[in-house]
Amino acid sequence: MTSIVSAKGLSKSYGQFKALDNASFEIETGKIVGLIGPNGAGKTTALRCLLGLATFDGDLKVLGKNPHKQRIELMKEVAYIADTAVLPKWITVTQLLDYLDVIHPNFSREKAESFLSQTDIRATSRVQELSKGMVTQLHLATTISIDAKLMVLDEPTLGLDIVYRKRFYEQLLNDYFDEERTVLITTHQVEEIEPLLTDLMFIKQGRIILDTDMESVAQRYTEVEVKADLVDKALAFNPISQTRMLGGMVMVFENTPRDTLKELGPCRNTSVADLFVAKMSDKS
Amino acid sequence: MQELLITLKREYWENRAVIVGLPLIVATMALIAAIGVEIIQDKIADHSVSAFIQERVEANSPGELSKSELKELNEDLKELEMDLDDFSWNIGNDEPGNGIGDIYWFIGVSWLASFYYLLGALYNDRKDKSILFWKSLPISERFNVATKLGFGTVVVTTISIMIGWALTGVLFLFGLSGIGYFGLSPSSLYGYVVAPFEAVIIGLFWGAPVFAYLAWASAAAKRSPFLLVIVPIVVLAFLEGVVFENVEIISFFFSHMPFAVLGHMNDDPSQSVFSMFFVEEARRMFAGLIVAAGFIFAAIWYRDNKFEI
Repeated sequence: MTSIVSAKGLSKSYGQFKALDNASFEIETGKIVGLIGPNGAGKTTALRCLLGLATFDGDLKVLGKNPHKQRIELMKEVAYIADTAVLPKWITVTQLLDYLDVIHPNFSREKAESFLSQTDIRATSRVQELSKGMVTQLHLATTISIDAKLMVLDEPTLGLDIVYRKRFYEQLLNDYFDEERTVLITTHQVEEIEPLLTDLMFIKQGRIILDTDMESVAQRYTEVEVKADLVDKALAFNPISQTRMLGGMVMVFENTPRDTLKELGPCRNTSVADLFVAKMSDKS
Repeated sequence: MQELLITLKREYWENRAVIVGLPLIVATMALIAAIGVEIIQDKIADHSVSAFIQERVEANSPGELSKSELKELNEDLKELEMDLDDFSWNIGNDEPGNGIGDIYWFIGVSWLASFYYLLGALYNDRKDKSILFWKSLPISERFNVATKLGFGTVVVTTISIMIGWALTGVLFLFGLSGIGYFGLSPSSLYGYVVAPFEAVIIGLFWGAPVFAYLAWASAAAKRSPFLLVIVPIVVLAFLEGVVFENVEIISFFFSHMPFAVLGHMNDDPSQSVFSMFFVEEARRMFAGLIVAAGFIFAAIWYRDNKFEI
């Protein structure tokens, strides 16, 4: 597989604050990558660097291009949704399609109209007249109508109800994603995107602390319900997190054989949300 | 070319309330004023003619007017008619340059609309964060800034001129237009068609530092572009006046207001305004263009690097 994004020693500072600190990662074609991190961890800064919206130190290539120096060329092949509020409020749906039709060489008006015909959005409506969910539908419809190799989604479903969130990701999978396209998502609603993801990256204080595929997550991390009398024995295996529960503790172990952990209690795969909490609280 | 046209259209979609609304308001006011003047003028005429005849009749009554008196009365009436025509000519129905429906008014008003437009052109999308949407498209900020400056200085004024033409047409239909009085001549065609665009183009170049300064303020402002326009001027005026005891920079700025072009067009129509600004004032024009280039460059830099509020 070919790398669509390649970052080596990517750094970005705002004054004394290091938003990105020597981050290195690769994203391959045909993946859906979740970039997960707490507020202020550097997710949005990383995306801004990828999209050429911010200067950076280090080596960064997106689709073989320097994003800051070749942003215009890059944006012909990259689609981006920042959040639900970025479509201009004064524009009508028809005006939006007219504009994109001329400006974007890879935009398909037919596709966009076909997607929009499945919604309640009228061509004459202004963005300010649409509900938050409808604005997101409109934004997604126009974005997936761009024949882009990489789609970057920064908190795309922020503020939406569960119905719209579900629809959003369904449409993303059904109408956009294939093995030649790549999706990079940041979100706080980790549980919702977990089934979609092929790869996972955790970012903390500007550093990539986990970069792996979802299959490896299942192999590397195990969650165990440890009974109270076995807690001391379990601690010997250096769990990366421990949470109290009735009659014992829930612990997450990294690279510890599951056969060994079975003695401590029932084992299961760690959810991305639990793994996220574990990694964020891990002091090592 | 298509990209330029659709981007200009986008600006029109976003700002049509101001750039069409403002000259339309002026046109409506001018139309009402012209009709009002016509009504008042008719009343004055009726009143004056009746009073005049009454006065003559009373002066000669009883009895009939003699032939010489009738001739005198006829000449007096002609004189009165000419006076009323002059009155009408001076108030509202003349060639471009002096009247209520004057097309230069529209250019002046459209430059105010341009100022308003430019103050928001590079700020509003940052404020509502839609800049992130525009930046997700393959369009450079150089193109964006150039288009917005072009729209603010040329398209806004052209729309105003077109509304001015429409008003002239309406006034003509009502019989209130100067064209109706004297017909279409090369001089009136020049006044209505060529001179306004001459004013716009010269105003664009002469006013370039002011337009560019507004664009820069719009691109750089964190809160209020208007304040960012005003505060440096006030500070500079204070520093110049108090510390250096002169007003060179401030007077340079204010002398580059595009309205100066209209002032010169009205002052001496026989003098070529083009040579006035591009030849006689060539050094100041050049200096203004250099300053404008600096502000435009700064606006593009801010849009590329410091666009977040």
